[in-house]
Amino acid sequence: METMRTTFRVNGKDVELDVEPRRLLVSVLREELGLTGTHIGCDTTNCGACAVVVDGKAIKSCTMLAVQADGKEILTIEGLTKDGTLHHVQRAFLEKHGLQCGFCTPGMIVMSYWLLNQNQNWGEEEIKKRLSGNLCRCTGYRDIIACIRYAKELMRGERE
Amino acid sequence: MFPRPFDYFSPKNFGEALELYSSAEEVKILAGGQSLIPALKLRLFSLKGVVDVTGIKELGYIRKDGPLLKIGALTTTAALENDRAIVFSAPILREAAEQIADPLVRNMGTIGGNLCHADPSNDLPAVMLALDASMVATSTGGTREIGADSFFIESFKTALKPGEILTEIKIPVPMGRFGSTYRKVRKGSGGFSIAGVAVCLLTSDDGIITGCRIAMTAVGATALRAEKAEQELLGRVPTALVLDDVARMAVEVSRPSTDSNASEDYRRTVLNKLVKEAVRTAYDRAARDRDGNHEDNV
Amino acid sequence: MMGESESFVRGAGKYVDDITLPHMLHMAVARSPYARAKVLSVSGGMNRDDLKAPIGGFGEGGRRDVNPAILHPVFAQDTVNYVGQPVAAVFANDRYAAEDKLDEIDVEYDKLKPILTIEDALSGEGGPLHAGTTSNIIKQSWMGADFDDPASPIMLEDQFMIGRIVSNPLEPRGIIADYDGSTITVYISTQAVFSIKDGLCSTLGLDSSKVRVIQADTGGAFGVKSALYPEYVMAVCAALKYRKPVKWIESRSEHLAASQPGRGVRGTMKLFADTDGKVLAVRGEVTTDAGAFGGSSGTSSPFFVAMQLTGPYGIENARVLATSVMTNKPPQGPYRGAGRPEAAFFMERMMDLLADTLGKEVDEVRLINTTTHRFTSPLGLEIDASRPFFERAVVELQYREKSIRDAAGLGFFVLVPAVMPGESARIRVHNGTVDVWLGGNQHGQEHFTFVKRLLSEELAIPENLITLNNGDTAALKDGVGSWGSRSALVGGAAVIAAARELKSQVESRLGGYTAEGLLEDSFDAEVFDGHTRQLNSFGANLATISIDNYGMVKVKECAACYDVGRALSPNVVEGQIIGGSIQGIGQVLYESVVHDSEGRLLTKNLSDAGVPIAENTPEFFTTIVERPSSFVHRAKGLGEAPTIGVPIAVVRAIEQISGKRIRHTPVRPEELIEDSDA
Repeated sequence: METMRTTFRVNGKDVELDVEPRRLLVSVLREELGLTGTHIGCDTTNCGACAVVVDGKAIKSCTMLAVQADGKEILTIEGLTKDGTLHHVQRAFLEKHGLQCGFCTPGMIVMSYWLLNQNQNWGEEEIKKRLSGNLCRCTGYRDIIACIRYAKELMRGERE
Repeated sequence: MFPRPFDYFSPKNFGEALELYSSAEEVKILAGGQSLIPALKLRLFSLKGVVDVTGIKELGYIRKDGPLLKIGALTTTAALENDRAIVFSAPILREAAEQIADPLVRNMGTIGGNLCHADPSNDLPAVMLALDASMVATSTGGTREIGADSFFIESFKTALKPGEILTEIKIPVPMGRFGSTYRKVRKGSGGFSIAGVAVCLLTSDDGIITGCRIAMTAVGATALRAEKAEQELLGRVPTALVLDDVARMAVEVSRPSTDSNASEDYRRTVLNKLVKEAVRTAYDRAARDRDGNHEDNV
Repeated sequence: MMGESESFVRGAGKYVDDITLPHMLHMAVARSPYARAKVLSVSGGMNRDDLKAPIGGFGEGGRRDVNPAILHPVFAQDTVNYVGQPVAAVFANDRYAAEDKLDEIDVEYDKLKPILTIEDALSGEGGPLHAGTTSNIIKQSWMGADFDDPASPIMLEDQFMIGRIVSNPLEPRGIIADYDGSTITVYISTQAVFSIKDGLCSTLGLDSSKVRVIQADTGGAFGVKSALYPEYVMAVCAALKYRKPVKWIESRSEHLAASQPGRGVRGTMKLFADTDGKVLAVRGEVTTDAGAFGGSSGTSSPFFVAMQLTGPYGIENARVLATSVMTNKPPQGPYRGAGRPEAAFFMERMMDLLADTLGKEVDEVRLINTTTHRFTSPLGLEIDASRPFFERAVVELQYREKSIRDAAGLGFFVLVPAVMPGESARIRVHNGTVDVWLGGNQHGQEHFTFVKRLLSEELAIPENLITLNNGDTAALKDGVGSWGSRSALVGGAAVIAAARELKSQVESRLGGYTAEGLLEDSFDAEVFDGHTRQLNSFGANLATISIDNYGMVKVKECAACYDVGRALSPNVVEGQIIGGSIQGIGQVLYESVVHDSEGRLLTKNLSDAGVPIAENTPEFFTTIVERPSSFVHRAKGLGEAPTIGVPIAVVRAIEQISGKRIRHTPVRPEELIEDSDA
């Protein structure tokens, strides 16, 4: 099986790997790089548990080949925590109870982080629509929406 | 769940891409990958290699060029949602892009991929039919334009010949009082469409329809136009009685099937209502479209 | 701190797929493409040549309550009986290569006509699924003493069908089996490490002192991860054979096809009532589509449904025929509610029909049937007086106002937590920290919150010293499991019992109990807290909906009034209610698992399966009633309450708005769409 040298940056660190073209980005993040925070929840690009940010865009890492990441900059859930300190979005999910089993949570947090960096003026209905690619089976979503609202306030410095 | 092995090529320029694509055996173009990679993961088919064209940045653009709106095939569907030129010239494209899958998929998926994959439930083929767009296809042998009406042949099959790569979509910017909409009905918890309708129409200043294209998706082997229904609208105002006929004619040419999400009867009933709703909406927007800039089509 | 939320938001959870052991093999499973076929030959991988045993094992050590001819074989033997049934397993160093190796498996099948509905299964056509049996009935019996039909002026009959639903937790099933030459260690996504251990031992004839099952962080379960599955046994067999750790993680497609879906129950009800609306008697038939094999919860499901059929009402006469039936589909398993939603649905639909027949309000008719004293139904259901709760619920839910404004649906039910036989808890104090293990394993319900609260109250220690560990059969002598709304109830009681044991240890050693005395020394207390009596609680839901031009229903408001006894953690209580409510909405509006006439699965992904999305959330109103229970912590069960009450209320609201009588879930938009425009 031929492998290809692939170079990219994950959470600020440079990485160089030899990977088979067929390996999905999510597999490489989880296995070769040990970043198991990004999860696999389905095999049909529905659930969003694998969401990461690549070159500033939130994408489903189960539907991207690792070799396509060559030359790109990737942010995973682990990268939101800086020197042990939680990002505002992570803190919001924790404080406002945005999770139960935690399996959808990394993808949900990464997507929420990305949405809040796109536009903080979306209302609740707009946010809900934009979460259509992130499934949660435990929470019923209501608290997740509340966490996003709270995260926005934290990011704007409206809360301490 | 994981693909079979294949070779990966990432040409640095378009010429290289064409060479590779025409010479290598059993290769497919990898653009956004949001249709190809899921199919490879489920091992629905095998191939020897993929030609990743996403490195060819010059294939992603949106520009107004005189009477035409030109969109590079690698423009992501997310980019279609946010572009000013589209808002002014072809707002139906933005309206449709917003309804594709979810934002994560749209960040990767491309307009070219959506059209070439030709899934009978995809959104953009119907929009291209409604806009009377042309697809520009390039091979090592040259370039040709294929009108939307001839582009979609069968489920998952377009008019592209082996070795041809879709590079650009050309959309004639509607001149005059223009109204459009793309509306689809999908299962309440998300997922593929039950039926979708794209309508573009032009009216005179006193509200008579002077031009009309109606296209439907998820109700046949390909996206398809409802030409008789379009004819019925020409020279008329869309009253309830007229709309009844128009919708009935559109349903007559549709070929919906039954699947686990919806029966063909339900699809027909939905389509009938959707056609009426879409024509009414497009017509109301045309009425508000005063200055030839179509950004009021919301 | 495993299992606690902070690690999850950091992406530091340790779910079974996050665990890697040296030299680990990955397993992939070859599955039947046919719903029913003879298996003429199998070659490649590990298959029936390697193991003949069924789940639960043969003979002495094996299970005795079910005819062995209908037990689920680990590897398919002479026949296959559902699409997705495991036939063989292959192993490779990475999971991509393992999937490639499936190409090496060669199976010759002789297709047979599948039996796909309860009706077909009972008709006898196509013969019984399994050799060694004469029918497709697993178990059938009458419940409740017979009676003469009362000479009542009102007699109403109807039939209902609750379709099967796939559990679909976000984390699929997964296991790692490891064998070091002496002990088998299993890491698994599960609700019940002891169920898994006991099942593995009886299936493979293993020495239970040589088997350890450790729960990894578990990403949701809702019932589907309580069973012992063939794939788990295969992984253990492979670990024994290859002397390497073996990991199996299912794909979502496998979960949709081959995990144990829930629901799938048909109910026939005949109600006798007087003109005031008092129900004098009920005759019923409850039939569960138990899928292709006996021994899963599908076998006992109809009896549990039947037992609850009279609900929160004082109905003096009831007799039900309960039947579990086999079809060519995966075995039925528990899915949040697990028989409770079905029972309540059947009765509540009849209550609404009764109200409509008499021209009375639905709350009036229910009120007449509530009890003013403790009542044991003819089917064995024990309830407290239900009238006081119901009167309060109608007010809290604002039923009168909302039904006038918006044609609201109302549901009233009793929640029967799976109390029996109790639960184990162990508390170990060492180096100033307190470690707790429970027999039932949390999988999203945040049991650590009630453990911390109860222990800090009982032992007068700060919550931050307490850790609830994931399940581990090496840490406890035995345990039951987390399901059936039982964990806070019996798990909480066990934790308090263990704490009291700890206190008496401290008293013995130090003369008296102080928190300092506890924390400065080492103590270890383990208790099995047995409970056999039912402890049931009441709940009620209200819902309002709208239906658009395309027959699509949107739930506008979803209101709950539940008696939780004592809310041990208000956040968690609220989270359980909201999450469960969305599942209840999913059952009514979106979720199904559909097969074609050949038995092939048409439900190919999560959106086909209908798992709700964020846009599907309504406005929620929650009222918690706290009427303390007799348990030491005063709490009652909760987890499944929303899955019971919400579907009833939503279905009634749909009925009100559409004018169509609803008899099944899911309700499809095409049943509600009007030909002419709204």
